[in-house]
Amino acid sequence: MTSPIADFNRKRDEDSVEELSPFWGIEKGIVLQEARCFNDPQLDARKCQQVITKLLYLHVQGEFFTKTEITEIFFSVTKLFQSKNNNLRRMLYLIIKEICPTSDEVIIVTSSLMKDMNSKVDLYRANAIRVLCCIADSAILGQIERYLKQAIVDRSDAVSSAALISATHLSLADVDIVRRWSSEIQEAVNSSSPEVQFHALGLLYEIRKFDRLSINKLVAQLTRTQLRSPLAQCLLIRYVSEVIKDSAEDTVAPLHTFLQSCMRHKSEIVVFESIRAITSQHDLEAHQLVSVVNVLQLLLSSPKPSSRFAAMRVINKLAFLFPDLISNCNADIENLISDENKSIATLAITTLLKTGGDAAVERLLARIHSFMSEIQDEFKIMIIEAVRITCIRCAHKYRILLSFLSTYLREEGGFEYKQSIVRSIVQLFNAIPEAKELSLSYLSEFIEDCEYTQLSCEVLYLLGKETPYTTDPGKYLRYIYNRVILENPSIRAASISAMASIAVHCEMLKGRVLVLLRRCLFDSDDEVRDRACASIALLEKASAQKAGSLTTHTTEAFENVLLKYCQSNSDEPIDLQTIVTSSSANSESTNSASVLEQEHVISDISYSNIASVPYFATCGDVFKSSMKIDLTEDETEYKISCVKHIFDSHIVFEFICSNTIKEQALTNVTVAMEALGTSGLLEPTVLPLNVMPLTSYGSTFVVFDHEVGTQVEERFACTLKFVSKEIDPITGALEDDGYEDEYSIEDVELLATDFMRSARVQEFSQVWSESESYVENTFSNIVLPHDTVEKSVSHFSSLLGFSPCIGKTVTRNATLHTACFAAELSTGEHVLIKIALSMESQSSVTATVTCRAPQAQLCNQVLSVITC
Amino acid sequence: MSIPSVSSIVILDDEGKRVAVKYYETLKRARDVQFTFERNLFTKSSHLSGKGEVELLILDDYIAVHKASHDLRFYVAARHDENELILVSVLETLYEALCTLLRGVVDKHAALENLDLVLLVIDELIDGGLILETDPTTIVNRVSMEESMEHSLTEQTISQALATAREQISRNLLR
Repeated sequence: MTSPIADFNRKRDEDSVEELSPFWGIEKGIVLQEARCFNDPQLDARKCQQVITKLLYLHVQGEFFTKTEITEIFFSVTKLFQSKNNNLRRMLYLIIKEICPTSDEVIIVTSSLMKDMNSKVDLYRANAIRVLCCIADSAILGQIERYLKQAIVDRSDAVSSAALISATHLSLADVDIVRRWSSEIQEAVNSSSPEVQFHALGLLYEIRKFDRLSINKLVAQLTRTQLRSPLAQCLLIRYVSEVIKDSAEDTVAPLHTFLQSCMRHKSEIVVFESIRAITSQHDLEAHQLVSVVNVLQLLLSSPKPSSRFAAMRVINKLAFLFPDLISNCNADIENLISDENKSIATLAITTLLKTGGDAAVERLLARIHSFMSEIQDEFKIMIIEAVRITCIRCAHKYRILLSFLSTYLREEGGFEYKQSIVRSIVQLFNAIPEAKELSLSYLSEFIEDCEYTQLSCEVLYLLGKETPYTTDPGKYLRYIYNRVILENPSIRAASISAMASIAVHCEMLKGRVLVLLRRCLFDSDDEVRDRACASIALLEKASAQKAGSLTTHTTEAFENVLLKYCQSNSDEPIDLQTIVTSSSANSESTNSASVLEQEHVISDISYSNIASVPYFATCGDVFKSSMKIDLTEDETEYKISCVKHIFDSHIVFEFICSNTIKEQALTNVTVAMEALGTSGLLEPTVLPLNVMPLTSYGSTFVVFDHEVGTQVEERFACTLKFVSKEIDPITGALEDDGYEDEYSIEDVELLATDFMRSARVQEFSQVWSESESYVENTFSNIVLPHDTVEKSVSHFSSLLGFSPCIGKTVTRNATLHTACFAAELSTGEHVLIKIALSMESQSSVTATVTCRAPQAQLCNQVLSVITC
Repeated sequence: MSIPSVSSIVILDDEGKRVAVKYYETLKRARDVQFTFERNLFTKSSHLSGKGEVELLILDDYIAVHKASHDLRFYVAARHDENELILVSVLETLYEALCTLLRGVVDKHAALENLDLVLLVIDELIDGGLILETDPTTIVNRVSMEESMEHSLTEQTISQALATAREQISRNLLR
């Protein structure tokens, strides 16, 4: 135990150390004040240097300087060119580069820097070149070009290097100006200084890299000489491997030999670079790698951790492609499992898992056990990943590997680590079906003590989805129900959904689940209660109706309502009440025979009654329902409108009728449809409407059979037929006798677009470019009588029956606009439509419509619909 | 394949605070990206033994080499496909040059006391991401603007060069 006095002393020591820091309590404002010393007529070089250092310190610490402050600093700093002090000058160069003045300010320092560029002092020249090239614009470049060219072959290495490096930066912006110095650069490649040679070679390649022939020549020439600088040698290796990639197989043999010879270079950097070059070639073959692996093996036992790591990285990569080859150095790799650097150890383990045979797996897992406790989560994740791959490779070892994974599920760990284990297990049982039951039981044990809510919910969902198909789903119910008792609301809710899902799929467990769910009805959490309630209702309904799953039904109804709402451009909010009533009406209607009279639920959204008619229950899902078309004038006695529903093998015309005359009742209402074209549709089935309701709506149906996946175009003449009966004005009772009557309504057309619905397309341009093979046709210069582009877009939307996927909203007063529509057919094929609109005059919009469809006929049909 | 390049040089103290940093290329821009990057470097290297050996770290798209000295931590980072050993040599050059200039004691106090020298070493080592010089002695000379030795360097022993450098620096400091 330390005495208080010792503590005190140590504290004071720490404080004093803190105070000793030259930047303790530094503030930007004060430093900017201090910077005024740059303007003193008698410069104090030492002080100025200190102030510059302070400014740079602030800069390094991430302090923000305003534009004015930077300008101010820059202007006062330029005064320091008066000083002859070398070290101050060096700091001056540095700070100019750091603050990087704007182009209109640069002019202040160019003359000073150009003077330094011609100085007798080498380092002035070198630094001035670097600074100038860093801040110069093209005008200044023109002025200094001559000097730069000369500087490349300067007798001083510093100047030469500076010029070459600066030229390399310049070449990225403007390669042409640098190309003019080609001969000087070529000369510098032969310099006696290794650095200059390195920089010159780099630059030479940059300016020639688009000239294959000259690069090939350069490489061929240089591979025969010995470069002084290891870095230059590395560059050469990179260029050689580029040339190999681009050249034919037979011409590159000498280059391969060169790469192999580089592995015997005395510099480790070069050796490693050549290994990287060889291993990154595309068509690697095992025999080329034998010597590489030998060298790597030597590097593995290098005393330097960085070399071991680098070698291990390459081996790990190779292990994927050539497990057999790498297994030769398994012994060396195994030694690295105990490496102090855990990154190396982890790489070693993952490599061994990849290369090791069946026999080695168990031994390795034992070693990993001792290792796992020492490493961080990120390495554990890498190991888990490797174990997963191993397991998929050695499928029959799944028991051992799964139990390994489950061990670590139980131990301490971060969220991402646990998640990686769970995901691995999921992937495993997807890949290896026989591992499923074992995996699920491990997972259900895991949720017993999982500390992460999100992960628990994930597992619960999975259990709900997967366990119904196992041999004994009941086993998992206990695990799941335990969560309801012990966990937080999110997990409880997830558990309830999981149990409901099991019950829906396993008839025999339904009773047990219902008992469990009823216990949850008094839960303190709203969501849990709601889910329990909904699930119970669902299960009870499902047992009454023997439907597979009701949830899908209600959500589908809800989805339909939402979709219709989206297409209707209505500003009214959706009335949730109507959805509930209409869906409950739907389910009731399935049980009762005379539904039509009961149907009172009318709203703009759910105007169609088709879902309530038992006849259509067996027809499958509606592929598309058209917009409602009015077939009568506004002020007539009867209001009739039509909705076209396309089923897979039926076309249904729903006539929605409403009576406006109180004294008269229309009974046995049907619509006679007479085909005017030659589409060859067979005689339809007619579903009459018993009584046309007064002020409310009822529907009569005409059903045609048609071939799956075909589009029919037809025009029908329609006549409303009914039996008219008088209503006694006093009693309100119907008279028994009526007379037959008919009423002529407008024609109904069946169009190609009725068979298309809006497709959900992620990226229209991508789908468009993928549809090259489709038939494309264009109608141009269609004049539309609209006075805004926006109206034209909604015109096309209503013709097609859905909104565009691109260009739905039109900017105000736009004169040019493009709208793109994507439609799908019942066959899953797409029809794509691009409409380019332009406002030619005040009162008309011109459109160009391009359509792509799988067949020419369809394409033309669609075009004629939209351009009529 | 292009010229070997470095994307950043970072020197932190033992609490992960900046002593000196220099970013090149993409990392240059957003300040919070830089701080996140430094925090990652620091946490990833915290479990390393740090016995003065150069260690390797992998961070998403970057690869970094690391070396600890007293309470300082040095990092040189580059794109993940760079040759690791080139980075090692850059880091070693940086360290050796600083060792000479800070007279063998490379710790936070000395580095802050001579921050100008630290920043100049970085500037002489890397120019805009490209490796400018890999010989520590040359860098020391250039930092202290001592050019007379540039040519006669090969004849001098290192210790002589160090002595001259030290003398030069102390002269400058005392001035």
